[in-house]
Formats: sequence, C-alpha cells, structure tokens
Amino acid sequence: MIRLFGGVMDGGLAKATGPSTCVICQNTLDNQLTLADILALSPIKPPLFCQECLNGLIAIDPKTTCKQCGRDMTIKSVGQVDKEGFCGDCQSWRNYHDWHFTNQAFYRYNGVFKDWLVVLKGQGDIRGRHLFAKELKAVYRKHMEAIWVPMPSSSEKVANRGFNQTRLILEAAVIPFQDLLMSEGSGGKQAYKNRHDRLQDTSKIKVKKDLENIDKNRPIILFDDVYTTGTTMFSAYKALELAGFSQVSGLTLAR
Amino acid sequence: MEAVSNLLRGRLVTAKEIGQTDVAINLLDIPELQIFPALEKEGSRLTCRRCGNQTTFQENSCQCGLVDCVYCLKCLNFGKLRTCDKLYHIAEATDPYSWQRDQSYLAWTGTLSDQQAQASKEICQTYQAGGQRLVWAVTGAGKTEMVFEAVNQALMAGWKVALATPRIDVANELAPRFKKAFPEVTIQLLHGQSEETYAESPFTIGSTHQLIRFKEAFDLLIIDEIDAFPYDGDPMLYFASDRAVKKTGSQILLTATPNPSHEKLIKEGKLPVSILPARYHRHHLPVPIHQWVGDWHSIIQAGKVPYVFKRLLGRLLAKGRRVLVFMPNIDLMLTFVKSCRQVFADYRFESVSSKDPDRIIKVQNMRDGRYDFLFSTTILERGVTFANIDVIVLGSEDQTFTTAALVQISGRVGRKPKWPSGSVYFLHYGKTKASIAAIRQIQSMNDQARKRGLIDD
Repeated sequence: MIRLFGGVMDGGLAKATGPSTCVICQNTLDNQLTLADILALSPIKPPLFCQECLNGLIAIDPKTTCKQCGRDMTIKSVGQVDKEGFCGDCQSWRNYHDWHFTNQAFYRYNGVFKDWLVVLKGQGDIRGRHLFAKELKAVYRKHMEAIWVPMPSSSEKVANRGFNQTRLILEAAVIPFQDLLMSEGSGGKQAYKNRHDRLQDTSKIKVKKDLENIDKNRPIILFDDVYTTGTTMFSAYKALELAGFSQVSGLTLAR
Repeated sequence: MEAVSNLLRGRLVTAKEIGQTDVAINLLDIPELQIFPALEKEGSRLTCRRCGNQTTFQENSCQCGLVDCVYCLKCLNFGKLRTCDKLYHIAEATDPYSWQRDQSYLAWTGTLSDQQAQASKEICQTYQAGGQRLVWAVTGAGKTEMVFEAVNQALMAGWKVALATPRIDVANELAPRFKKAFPEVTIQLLHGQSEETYAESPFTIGSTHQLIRFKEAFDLLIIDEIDAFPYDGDPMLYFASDRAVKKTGSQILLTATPNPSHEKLIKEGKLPVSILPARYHRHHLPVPIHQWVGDWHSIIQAGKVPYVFKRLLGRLLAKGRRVLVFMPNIDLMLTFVKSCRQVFADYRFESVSSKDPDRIIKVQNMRDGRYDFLFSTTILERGVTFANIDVIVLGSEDQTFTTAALVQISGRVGRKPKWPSGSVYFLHYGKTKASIAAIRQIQSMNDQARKRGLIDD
C-alpha cells in the first residue's frame, strides 16, 4: 500500500479515531480508504455498522404477515394464520380483549435486532439511532398526511436512560411527531413479567389532555421499536381510539 | 455507610456500579468521600476520568440539562459514562489491614529452580523498593511460582494484592492455583464472566479490564501475559493498570515476549528486568522451522489441500505424532477442515475457535488423546498445555501471527518433563519480520540458557 499521508495517518488521524468498530457487534470494521475518500478532502466518516450485522436483519414481506400484528408468517415455527388472517398469538389475544388493530413491522425480531436494541436502550449508545432512518423516511413520504405518535416510556425510565428511544429514532430520521400519549409506568420491567400478566395489563398508556385542536380524522402512525406481546401497542391503540381518533395503525421496527 | 465505604475504598466507580444512586450516596455524608466529575474539561480538552480517553466522545441525548452532555466511547462497555455522571473514590487506609501477621500465608512446599529463585528474589526486592519490574520468562519456565514469595510478603504486611491478566481463561486457571498456595487468604475472582461481585478482599485475581474500576488500591500488582491481546497496545489498559497501584506500590509485569517498546526500555536501563531463558525441566526450547507452502489461501478456497501441508502432516501422523495446526482465520479454517476430511479420512480431528461453543470439550478430547490432530485459531496460543505434541502454523505470514503469538504457539511444544521435545513448523507464503524475529528470540533464549548453564541438552 502506498501511504500518501503516512505521517498524518499514523500519528494524527489514526490515533485520534482509533480502530472503528461496529456499534452492534463491536467487531473491527475493515475500513479501506478509497480513492474517492482521499479526493473528497472532507473528514472521513467510518460506517457505524458492519456488513455482517446489516445482512443479519431480515425484512418482513407485508404480503405474508398476520393481519393484526404484522408477524412474518413464513417462519416455520409460528404456524399458520386462520381463515380471517390472524396468527396464533392474535387468536388467543381475543380471549383477553375483543378489539382489533393493525400493525406493520419492517424486520424480524431476531438476534441482530435484539443486539441493536440492547446497545441502544440498555447500553445507551445513541449512535445506533440512525439504523432504520431510511425505512422510516420512506413510510413518512408515502403518508405525508399522517400524524406520527411515538410510543411513550415511563418518566422513570426516561430519567434513567436519558432519552425515550422512540422519539430519538424519529428525530434521527427527521420525522416530525406529536407526543399525544403518556405512560404511567405500571411498576416493574416488562421483561420481568410473564405473558399472562402482560396481556392483562392494558391501561398503562393514556392520552394527554389537550387534544381538542387535533383533527381526529387524520390518520395516526403509532410508532414503537418492537412488537412482542402486543400489550403496549394495544394499550396505546385503545387510548387513541377512545379519544376519538378513527384511523390508527401501528408501525414497529421489528416483530 | 460502612458497607458503601468498603465498596469505594481504593476504587473509582459510579453510584450505579455499586447499586446506589448519586442522591443516596450524598445522603450518607461519608467524610473521606472524594467525588469527581466523570468527564473532566480543561480548556477545550476533555478527559474521561475512568479510562483516560481524550479523543472519542459522542454527543448525548440526555435529560440532565447540561448544554454539552457527551459520553465516552472508549469505555462504553463498562457502562455509559456521561458528562453529568459522578465517579466516587475513597483513599486506601494508611494503616495495614487486619490480615497483617508475622506468620507466613504461603502453603506451597515445592522448590524453585535456580533461575526461578533468583527471579523470585528480584521480584521481592522490587516489591520492597516500589516501582516496576519486567519478568521475561520463556514458556514453561514456571512464572506463577516465582511471584508466590512477593505475594506472601505483601499479604503478611497487611496490604492488598492483585493479579491481572488480559485473558479470562488464564485468570480462571490461575485462581485455583493461588487458592491452593494461599489457603487462608480470601481470593476474589473478578472478570466480566465471573459470578462474583466485588467485595473488598486481600487478594484479587481478574482480567486487566477490571483494573479500570480501581484507584491507588494495590501495594503489589502483578500483570501476567502483558503481551497478549487486548492488553498489548491498548492505552486504556496501561492507564488503568498504572492507576490501580498505590503511589508507593509496585508493578510486576510477566511476559514470554516483551513488545518492542518494553525491549527498548530494557536496553536503555529504564526498566529492571529478570530474564528466565530456560524451562523448568532444563531442556531447550524447540526452534521452529520455516517451510514454504505457496499460495495456501487460494488452494484452500479451491477446496484443495496444499501439497506441502499434506506431506508434512501425513509424515508426522505416520510417525504416531499428534499435531496442533494453527490457522489465522476461522472461515478459511472451517473450509479447510472439510477438504481435510477426505484427504485425512483415516484420522480423527476437529477444529476450535472463539466462536465454537464446544471448544472446551474438544480441547479436553485432544488432551485425552481422542483426536490425532486439532485445528485451532490463535485461541489456543497460550494457557493450554497438551502433552507430547507437534505444532504446524499454516500461513505464518498472516498479520495475526505477531512475534508474541508465534513464540507462544511454539511454546505449546515440549512442555512436559516426560516429553520435553517436539517440532514446530511455520508453513509460510513469505517469511515475515515477525516470524523471523520469533525464531531469533527462541534461539537467543536457548543460547543464554546454555551460557548460564540452565539447560542440559
């Protein structure tokens, strides 16, 4: 390799930036300097994610999902949809609540996605917030008339973490949103509760008070990071419909 | 209050790391408590108080209300550390701890070889005088036993001792040996995968990473395998291991292959050194042999087995030797293993890497003689002993194989007194500075050992 800026790269730049690593898996990125990088004469921005992690995300084809929750029905282990187009989870869901909603998700909730979420929410490394900006932006452009509503977190969690991840992700994608909802925080982390407890608990999300001036016929895109049991989504959905909104649909990064 | 003080003495941690909050710690009103802002700003220069990083910070999204809250990217794995966070510390007591006594703690009854005894004496001198010493000992010289006496002296004096190593598996292997040698001493094992949580104790064994949570805690800090990844060349870990030692304390660095900057310090007389060129069993170190293998990369990718490799391994196996084959890259290794299944169909073999969940079982199988040969990445380069084996490095020119790595790999051969010899082959597609230096270093150690009358063959 010809070292054009040998001295600078060894002493200055290289030292200042260190070896760049993937935000998700922390493996070293092999970051080959291209001729274009050199000619651009602007600061070199190393990528944040490695190709392996990016390839690990599996997109969900909206044609093959459960009608309600957006789950990918081509995964063998999840069974099949019934006549009405509901997956097993959503069929048993109706034993608890007689209410339908729709949710769409971009990706499967797999290992890479979980790792990404742990880095963002658990570790608090907000560099990961841009990962889905492109996909979100595409939906935004297609539904310009809609109001985006980020799923709220309890104030306790926001104080602890320093941010609410759904707002952070929308901000990173430069999508305007309105905070119509608030979370009461039902005590204890979701992860520590069993499925039954979580399915019962659907009143923790409430609408904020001053919603009079908003046109209730405008479509709402209810945004959350991930759909697991559906309780959070359902709770928010119910609160918005009871407040008079007629066209609510859920959008999550993963299901 | 006493419980919290004990968790802060000699340490540098956030409230969260000891299960507290900033508010709760403040309420305790601990008189000797020192509070530092986690990130320190001096002019335009920002420094992370925990890891010493001055270059890589990330703008934060935070509720703290500060205009420019950022967080450190260097030590993110230890928990996010923000401008608005605090680090807590309580200075070590000036009086010795309750474990001070006149009677020895050391229960080990073995004998040291002449060169070990000499090094042990020098280590004790450094411990008494304070400062640093590098112990440069060939693989199989018996480094562990040499530090027993200095550890014993520090414990008898009532001070805290730590032994840190970059490799968790090495820490795991050392802990029981020290527990056996010091049965009356509470020894804490501290690393990312250890079940134990921190409690103040006379003797801490752990990963070098854990040192980042200590400040002027230890009178004696021993760092084993300083040439190993990730310690070697990571300024954060150097920073942490210097800070973890008391200002009057001492640091003993153990290595089989000092890096060039250490060698330079030794030559300039700035770093006291003890050199142990011979193995405990008084036989010379096997000297690796370079052998040209051609473009093995392409051959393997074409699904074939390089001829030189096939001939060499076949010859060793025919003689009844068992062989460790080191390769630089996991994916290539897995491809190659498939091709070898046909060529070496009559032999039993497997492969191990850091990504292999069964690696512990496979290593044990190799030890028990259930395989004829074993492929490995650099994961087995140190800390593992197999009796009576030969070693082949396939692709010694790869940059993974540094001088230190190659010396360690060569050191896997001939470790047991019963089988003190064996062969090491560097199959290469071009000799490298590193592979030539590794051979030269091994030869030079053998020469020194002969001169000093430390080996018999």
